[in-house]
Amino acid sequence: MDNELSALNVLFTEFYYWVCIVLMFLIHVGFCLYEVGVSRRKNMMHTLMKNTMLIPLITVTFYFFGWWIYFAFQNGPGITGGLNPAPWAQPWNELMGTHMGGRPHSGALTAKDTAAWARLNGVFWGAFLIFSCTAGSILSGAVIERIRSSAFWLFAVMVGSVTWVIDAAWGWSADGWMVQKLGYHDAYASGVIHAISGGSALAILYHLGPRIGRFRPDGTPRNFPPHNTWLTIIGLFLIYTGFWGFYAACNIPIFDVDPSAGRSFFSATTIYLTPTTLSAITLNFLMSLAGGLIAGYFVSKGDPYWTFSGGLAGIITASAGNDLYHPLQAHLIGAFGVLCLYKLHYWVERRFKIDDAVGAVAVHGYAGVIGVVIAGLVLWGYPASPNANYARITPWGQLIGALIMFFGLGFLPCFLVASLLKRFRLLRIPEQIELAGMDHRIREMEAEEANEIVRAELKAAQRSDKRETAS
Amino acid sequence: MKTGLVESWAKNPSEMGPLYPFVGLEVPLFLICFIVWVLYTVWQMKFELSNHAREREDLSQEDRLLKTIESNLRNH
Repeated sequence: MDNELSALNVLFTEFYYWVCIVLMFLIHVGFCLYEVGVSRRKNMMHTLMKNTMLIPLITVTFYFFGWWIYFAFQNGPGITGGLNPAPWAQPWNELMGTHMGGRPHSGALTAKDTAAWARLNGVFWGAFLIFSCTAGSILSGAVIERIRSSAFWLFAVMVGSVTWVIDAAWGWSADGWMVQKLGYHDAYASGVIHAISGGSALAILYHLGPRIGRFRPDGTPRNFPPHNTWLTIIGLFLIYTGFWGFYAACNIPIFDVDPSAGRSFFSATTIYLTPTTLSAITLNFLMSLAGGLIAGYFVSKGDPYWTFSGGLAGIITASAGNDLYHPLQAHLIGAFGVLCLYKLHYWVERRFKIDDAVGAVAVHGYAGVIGVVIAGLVLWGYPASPNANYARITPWGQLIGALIMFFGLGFLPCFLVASLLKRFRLLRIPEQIELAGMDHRIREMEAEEANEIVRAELKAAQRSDKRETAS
Repeated sequence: MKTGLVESWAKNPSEMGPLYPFVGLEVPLFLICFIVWVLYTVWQMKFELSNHAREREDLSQEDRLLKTIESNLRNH
């Protein structure tokens, strides 16, 4: 920070992430609108509160342990090494507070730590936190209208502050063991956020069961139309917008990608420190969105819900390789993913009676897995890292990675916890409340209050009449 | 009395470390926040369970559930 150029680099990076965080917050506005729109009128407030409260709960737990897990668990631990020391990410560390980057006060830190993290720790933490909340929010839509809030928040914290953070440490960091050993490449988180959240949602849905009335006696599903289509559509548009911010937040804006032999070449990079450009990811984001929208419209014969969700799924499918794809590849990959997941969604729904209220398992889970696997085929042989000793991208490395994300860290932990909660009757709300609606007490109270106000107004009107008659 | 380490803003900023007050008390602060989170979680679970029990009792009254479902249908 002692000359204009280095100060500009640090302050620009700080500002860059700050802007991305604000943009990404729109994802949550979008999720809330979307879920409230999809839920029935009798469950609106509960749906809103369930999704809103995951934000503070994941925020504090990500502060308590999530951020530290990301740095500490990159070797497994036990696969390529032990726990990494990461004092700057401990919740009690001075670098989590306002800091000028000078001499460390705590003995655990070095001068290098303070210089590197003083101005970037908070914005990196914030960006990751929003990723965490997104992971939790993806679960939220799938399980609406019948899960207990306390059970849902437990899953949200588990996925948002623990399991997805472990998969990010393994496969979404410059030196994670999956990058080193498998050549895992997932630049914009097809697997590390979407596949794991989809896998988690599927496990919870399996134990949670469908909403009452979802399936006819012959096993065919009944459609629960959104109570407000406009909310769902505006919500999805906002999710697209926030997702755009997410893409930028996955990059490092200025990094020397050729520090060898005294040369320098500054570029934007992915989280793996491999070069890309904001220009390329803008093209690919939009072209995969377009591919997904067109495929969604085509396969659903113009159904608005699947068309909009198809746009999102198109981006998710192409995200693993959108740092490197040609825009036409991103377009086709996005479209292909949507065609596959649409069929898969209905097959799983009918075969296993899974009631996924918003199609989250398909849009995030299946699209994420398909995207990671396709990246292995299309980017076969590319170096996964600037470190020449690390594995290259391969179809089998990506396939193993996708399975770890969807099943290993997504499906399995949530399956175990959901089965425990179900056993103790802590997973699903009581049947009478589901039938009456989760907002029925709020609505009754509102009706009582409204009636009381009307009665008071009537009395006031009668008094006024009497006064006028008397005068 | 002073709560922080900052003596003067005119001092060389590159020498400055933490600017927040009560440096050195971070671990007790963390423990307080962590305990509050645990207590909140326990309270929320109990609160939800007792709410559900009350609602079930309420809905078990004669015709109450049917009337609520009919009212939902009218409001749909």
